[in-house]
Amino acid sequence: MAATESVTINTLPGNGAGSGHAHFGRLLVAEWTKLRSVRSTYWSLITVVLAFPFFSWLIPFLIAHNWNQADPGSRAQVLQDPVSTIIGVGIDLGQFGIAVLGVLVMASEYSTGMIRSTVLASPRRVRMLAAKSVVFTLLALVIGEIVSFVAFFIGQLTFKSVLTVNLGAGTNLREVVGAGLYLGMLALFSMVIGALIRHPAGAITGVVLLLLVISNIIQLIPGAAGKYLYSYEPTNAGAAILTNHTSDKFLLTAWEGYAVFAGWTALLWVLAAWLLVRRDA
Amino acid sequence: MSTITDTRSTLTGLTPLPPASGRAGFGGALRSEWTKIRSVKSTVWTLAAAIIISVGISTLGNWGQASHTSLSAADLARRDLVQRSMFGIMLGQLVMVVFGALAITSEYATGMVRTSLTAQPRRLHVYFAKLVIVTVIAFVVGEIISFASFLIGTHFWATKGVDLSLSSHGALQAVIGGGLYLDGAALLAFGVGAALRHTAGTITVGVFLLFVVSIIVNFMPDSWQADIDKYLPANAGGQVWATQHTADVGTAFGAWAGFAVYICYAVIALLAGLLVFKRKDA
Amino acid sequence: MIEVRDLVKRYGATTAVDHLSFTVQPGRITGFLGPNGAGKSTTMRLILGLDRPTSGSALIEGKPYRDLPDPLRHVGALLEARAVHGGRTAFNHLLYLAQTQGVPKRRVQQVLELVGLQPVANKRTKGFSLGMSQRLGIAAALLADPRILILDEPVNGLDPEGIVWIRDLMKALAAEGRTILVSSHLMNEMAVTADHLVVVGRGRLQADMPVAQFIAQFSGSAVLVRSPQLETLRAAVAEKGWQCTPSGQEGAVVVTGTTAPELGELAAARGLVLHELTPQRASLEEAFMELTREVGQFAHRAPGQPEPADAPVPGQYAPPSGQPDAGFTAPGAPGAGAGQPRGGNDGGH
Repeated sequence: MAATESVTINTLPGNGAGSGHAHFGRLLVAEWTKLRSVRSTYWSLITVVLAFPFFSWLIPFLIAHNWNQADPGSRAQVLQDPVSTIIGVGIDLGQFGIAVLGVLVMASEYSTGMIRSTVLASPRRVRMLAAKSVVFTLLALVIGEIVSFVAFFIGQLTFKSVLTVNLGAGTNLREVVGAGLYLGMLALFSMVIGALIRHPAGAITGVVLLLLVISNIIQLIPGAAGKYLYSYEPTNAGAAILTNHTSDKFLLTAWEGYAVFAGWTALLWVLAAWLLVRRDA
Repeated sequence: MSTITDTRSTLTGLTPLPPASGRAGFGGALRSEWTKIRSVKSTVWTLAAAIIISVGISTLGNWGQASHTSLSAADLARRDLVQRSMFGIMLGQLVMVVFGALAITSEYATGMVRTSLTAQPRRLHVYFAKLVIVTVIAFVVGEIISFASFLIGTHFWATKGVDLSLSSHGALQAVIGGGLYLDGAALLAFGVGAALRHTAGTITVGVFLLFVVSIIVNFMPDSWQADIDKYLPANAGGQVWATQHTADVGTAFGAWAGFAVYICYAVIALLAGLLVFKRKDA
Repeated sequence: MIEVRDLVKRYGATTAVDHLSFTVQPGRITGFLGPNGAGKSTTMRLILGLDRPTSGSALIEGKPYRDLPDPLRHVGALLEARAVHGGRTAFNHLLYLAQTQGVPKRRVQQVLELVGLQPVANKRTKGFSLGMSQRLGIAAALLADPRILILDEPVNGLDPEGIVWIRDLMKALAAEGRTILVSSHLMNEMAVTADHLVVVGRGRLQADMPVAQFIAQFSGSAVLVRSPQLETLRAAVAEKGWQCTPSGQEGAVVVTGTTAPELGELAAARGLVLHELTPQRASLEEAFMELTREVGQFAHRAPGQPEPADAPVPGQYAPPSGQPDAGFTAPGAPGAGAGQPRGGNDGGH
């Protein structure tokens, strides 16, 4: 089994030539290899890629099917923001695939102990975190944009018999592009939570609690405090880009909201980077 | 440092073992599963988090609503304030999913399952022992959550002139039901966990079944909603911790019929988990 | 070269590494020894920049690990072999490591071939045996042709063939002028592998010297003597203040506290006939046991050990030179080993 006959191996060409610090580009390639070589990446992305467009067909299909029987109030609701109707459910579901994957990208390094190999290869830990962030965010962003547009066109076709949804009209384009942007930022946000909590189950619970429960119940806090907390909660703020209307409880415009989401993510990223350097691997 | 002077032959220094009393039985399996669960930090943390988060959110929610409502005492009394007082269960169920999932998936994550099955090769013993322990613990924690939430909630509503107590109409059943609902969430996740053997995947499926399915149905046309809604796990199971059983849309199940539907989901998951646990290589 | 300077690592109230200083020189295999919990793994983690030292420093070629350009080209490390993502294939595990250092892909194939893992290169590592995981870890350590190797228990889980293979590999790499720091619990393995030893106990440096010197220093000198006039000889030895202990062989005793020439001269002066006079060489294991007994990290009870009639008083330090090890006696001698008092080994203090 072991190649006992040949004990030495060829010396690497160019070794000791001091080819500089592990280049950032190399770290990007390595992180890409990590990402594409585990099955959880595919499982998670498949949920987004299948669920998002599926529901962008299902919901318009059901609405169109019942259009004539529906009461004027329901119709008005759809007409007011058709894009949100098309992409709303799909993104509500699809985001969990992205969020879970984001958490795993970082937390599974700890749960498997692989983090030690990782930081031995790139002891400049912040660069490693940056490379991981870039690769994963870009992947999520690209997939998010593609899926959002596909989902939109599917919904548009399905609605055709009862209403016309024009990509160029109103804020429609911003909402579709925004869906991809939202998924990209959520990917990074979840990855950072994974880096902070370092335990897959704990971090997934945290992100899911935030997305599903905390983001909603926070508005129960009485007074202006509740209003502010609700509006500035990261995922609520980020989701403002997905609609053309906000309730009077919501204090931010679409892009302000997205900026708040990005700000939260940046803040937590810096915290995660600081802890990554400080904590023993 | 200790000095050990008694160094006779091999193991004579140890207390002699009592004679073997037959095969490793179910009682032993139960005790060992209990030890496993209580001796791991993540389980203890998860359960503590379940209690703190659920009761905390119930308290916050009731305080917020009670102090801001413009409804009169009479109007309030017509609402299901019992269920509202246990509002934190909405979050608690998620943490219970994590508990139920970890109870089984962590064995696979660490590879400990091989040790467990070497110690007790009769897999059904292991599975049911684990199941019993998870059921009992989740029940106790669930009841702590529902009773604490309710008792705290009554105080806020009392300030609005609504007199709530365990002897109020349907209250005792709903409060006990709150704990049962949480128990069901843990069992559902346990079954899914045994089938998937993957922590993240299990939590995701649990979240999907308990939360996300309802979101989808909300977007469906009313006529569809009415039929589908009441069969969804969270809606069916929700009846057992409510005092009013007519939902806004369509007709809902009664408390125990709803709970039976809810438990069916858990049983299906548990059976699937059982098959995988028994058949598949560990 | 690895330089450890006044290194301290505390975890709360526990001091894992306590003002440790040593250097590891190139061109030889340095064995890193210590009982469980002595701080070996922590020291390795500190050298590798995985943990932050409380104070002091560990330098590799004069730099902290974190400042090394392309660190895997300088240092290859094997820590825990199981610390890989079980869902990833062996090839991909090595590939992403190679990519961080700009190491070409074919090198991954080469190291897989070298460690004999090529047949399972595209299998997920979840199903690997301990030995296979260990080989994968060694492959990762050798991946970027490092000048320095840090191996924590490299023979763990390897089959006999694998053990010989890794030993030859380390020797060949040391002969090329590379620096090799290797820890192991297997003393016999270390005795035939290492040239130099760094021994730690309770986080402190206990010894830093060549293997031969270590054995000489930490095992008392002992001489096996066989004589038809054994009783007279015993009396003469006792007069000199040396100790006589049974050898387990008929007509022979082991004398400690002296050397073969001294004992021979004594016999000649008294006109005693000797049939055998053999200096006893202790093994590395015995020397190590002796040293760690002094340090006293973890005391074990020796299994299968009869209560010796001359057991040392508890708590009193029993000089090992007073107890020849059962291992000294010739194999096959009746009762060899079984009836030997090994007072120093009964639990420490």
